[in-house]
Amino acid sequence: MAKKITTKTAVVATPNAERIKKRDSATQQKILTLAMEIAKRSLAGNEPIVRIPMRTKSNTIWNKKRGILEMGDAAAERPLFDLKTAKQFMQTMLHAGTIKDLINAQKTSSLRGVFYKAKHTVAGTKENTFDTQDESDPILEDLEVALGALREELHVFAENRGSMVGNITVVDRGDEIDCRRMGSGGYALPSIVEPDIIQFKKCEAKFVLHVEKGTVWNRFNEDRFWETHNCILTHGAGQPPRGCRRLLQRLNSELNLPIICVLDNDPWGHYIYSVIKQGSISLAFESSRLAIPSAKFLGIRAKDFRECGLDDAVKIDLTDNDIKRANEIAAYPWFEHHKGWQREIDGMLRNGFKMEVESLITKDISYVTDTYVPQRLKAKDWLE
Amino acid sequence: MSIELEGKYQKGRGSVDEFLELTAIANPHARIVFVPPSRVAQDDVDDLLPGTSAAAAQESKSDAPAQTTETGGLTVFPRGVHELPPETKEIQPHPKGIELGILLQMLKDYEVTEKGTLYDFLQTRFCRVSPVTAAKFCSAVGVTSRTRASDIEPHQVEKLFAVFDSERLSPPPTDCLAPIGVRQLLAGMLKGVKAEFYAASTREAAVYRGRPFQIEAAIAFGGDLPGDQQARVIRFANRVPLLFQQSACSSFKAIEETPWKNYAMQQPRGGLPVGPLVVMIHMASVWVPFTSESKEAIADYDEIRKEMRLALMECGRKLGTYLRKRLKMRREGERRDVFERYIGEIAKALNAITGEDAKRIYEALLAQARSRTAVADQQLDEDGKIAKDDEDNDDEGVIIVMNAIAPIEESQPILAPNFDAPVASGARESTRKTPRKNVKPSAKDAKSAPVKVEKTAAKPAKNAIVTKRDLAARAPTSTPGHTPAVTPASTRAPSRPLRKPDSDDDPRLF
Repeated sequence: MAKKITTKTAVVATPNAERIKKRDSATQQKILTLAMEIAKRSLAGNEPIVRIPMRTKSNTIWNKKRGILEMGDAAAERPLFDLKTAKQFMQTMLHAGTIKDLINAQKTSSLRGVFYKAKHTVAGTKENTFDTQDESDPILEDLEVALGALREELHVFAENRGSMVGNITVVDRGDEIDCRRMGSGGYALPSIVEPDIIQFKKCEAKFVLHVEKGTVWNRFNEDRFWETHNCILTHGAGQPPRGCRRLLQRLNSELNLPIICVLDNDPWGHYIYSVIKQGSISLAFESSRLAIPSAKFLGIRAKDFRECGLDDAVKIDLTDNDIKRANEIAAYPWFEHHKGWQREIDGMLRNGFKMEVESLITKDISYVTDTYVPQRLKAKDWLE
Repeated sequence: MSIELEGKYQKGRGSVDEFLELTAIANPHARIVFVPPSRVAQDDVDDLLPGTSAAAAQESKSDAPAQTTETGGLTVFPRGVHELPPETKEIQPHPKGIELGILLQMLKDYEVTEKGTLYDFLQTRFCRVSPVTAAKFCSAVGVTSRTRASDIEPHQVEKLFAVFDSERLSPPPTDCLAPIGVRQLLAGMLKGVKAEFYAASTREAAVYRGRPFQIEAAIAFGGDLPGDQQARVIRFANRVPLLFQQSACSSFKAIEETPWKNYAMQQPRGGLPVGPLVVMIHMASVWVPFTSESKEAIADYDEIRKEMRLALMECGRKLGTYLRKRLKMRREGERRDVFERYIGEIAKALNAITGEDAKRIYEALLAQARSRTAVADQQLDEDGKIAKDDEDNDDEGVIIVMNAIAPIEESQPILAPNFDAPVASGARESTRKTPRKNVKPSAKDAKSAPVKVEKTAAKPAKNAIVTKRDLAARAPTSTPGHTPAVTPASTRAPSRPLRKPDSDDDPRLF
């Protein structure tokens, strides 16, 4: 049928029950090893300690050759008998137990669900094991790195965030989803998009246009940009979550689609690009499956105010914080020796203002889809 | 003795009330009953005075602490100690301690009564003047040992006075002084000031300008004292309160010079310390150098101020030690609470994952938690001593009132969690609903359990620091009325609510 016009077709893998079972038992073994060691230490009268690889900037290594961020070897010790870490220690143990339960039951749970499952009153006190989900989420990330297991291996997922439309058909848990027929809402990107859940079936698109947020995405979708330019249109609701980044990475690596980003001209937009391209500090351990070193930054560029002849009204003054952030970003090792990016950040700082993608609407409602992006694409005027 | 005085009766600072209050502090051997003017208007005054035999007998029998009481308009300052202060010994003046006018007057008196030689006059009317020294003085003014005192010319007296000053003499004897004494000071402060910590010190006697003197200081801290104000200073000269001209007094300057910050107190730059503190200074001397005839403030001699400062520093060190220890215990207590709170959860989680016995893990971790915070258990020593404490030497002259120490915070006792209930996945809810059968603490357990303040009990406090060493016994030996306030070891134990051994029906368990 459509096979003729299909340019790229990924292997349609059926969920391999055997493989998942093996993966789950491996994860369980890791949890058991961690818990056994602590139990043994406790019984032997030694202080129980969890070793958690550090997710900090100092423990993040810039792999220049691969163009991604990687996590270093440094690990922080989390002892029980320390006022600062006692509660976190307890929370880590609780979550380890929760995850074991999840795997046993062959169920997955949201981050919030895990939080509720482990949340209860500490026996004999009025204190809660977890007060807010903000306490719970980092503990799960800690467990991911401590166990060396990914979130989906822990049977935990985050809320859906981000959308996709375009010339592609995917299979999500066996259901075929035609992203050309998603109406105005688009296909909501799940947090786990691994090949055993989502397979790419049919794709005619030539590239992926990733925009920063839903409002801009709506403009492109309403103007059927993906149709006229044969592409896939995604957004990540600001800082793209793991699901969105992983999907982009898979589209890039499995289907060889270039990823082109349209983000705001401000430090936040630059940082989003940096995360998509190199990976983030807190998830450096997952960079190899999240980072897209070939991602391109199409705009908004500092020069656009002049080049597009924008109105003064679109200027938003840079705050002191913005300037500080911009200088930090300029000093990142992957931008530090990149002439284009140094010029770009310098240009923004010399402008003294930032611009959102929506600012292009001052020219015309569909200026961004009719003129701006097509022109730049044609001229290959982007930063890498 | 009875004196009739006409005046306006006022209360407050500088009043009769304050004078009596302070007098009672510096004279703990005295029992003072104050009948204010409002009561005197009534006719049967004598009956109201409880100074009669019946009342006195009752006082000596009663076990009530020696605290100032006010009943029926009468203020009674009870005895703090039951022995009189030693009588002072009379000494002759020291040559360096007199003034020219006094020397002339002494010579005149001598002429009238003795009609002796200058040589004899010097030896009998002064201390520390030996025959050799007297002969030296005589030759210095150009007279022989047989020259009569009446023959000395005024210019020779001046010469003699000058020689007194330049000659090296041994300092005057100091056994003429009668300090209040550390124990008495503590007793006086204890009944006059409601606080949690008392310290006192008596300096060795010293000499200024040939006059022996001795400085004593005491401090009271905490309890009901207001915490956000400058310390209250109470000053005494020979047991008499000094109520006025505080800032002109040498003692005031000494307090300002004392480095209170070193003793965990606040002290704004060059000022009085701020906090719940009363500072008491007493100067005992054969001659207190007042700044004026009204005898309101002690003149500022370097020797005196230095002694005052040293006495205050001694008290301050004790206070600092106490405060630091209290803070440390409090911290350690909190620490262990935190750990103990979480250990049950950890044991349960580990059990759910590994299948290891939760109770064994719990007990192993609990033992670790306790040994790591052993300081908090110091208070539990049987005899009230903190064993192997390097600061033990600093115990002299300190009283700590246990039930005046403010409780740290209210918290519920942590009970050993129930590991008998199923801990399998999804069973958490049911675990909570099941009435917990508390693991019965052993006797040892109960003793070393963290002391928790019951919700309803405002005091006594957790982590109260014990009365150190033998002071509990020493201070009230002669005052049976003191025992409850000073909390010797025997009265301490029941004052702490311990974990009930049988707490199955404790509502907090559900």
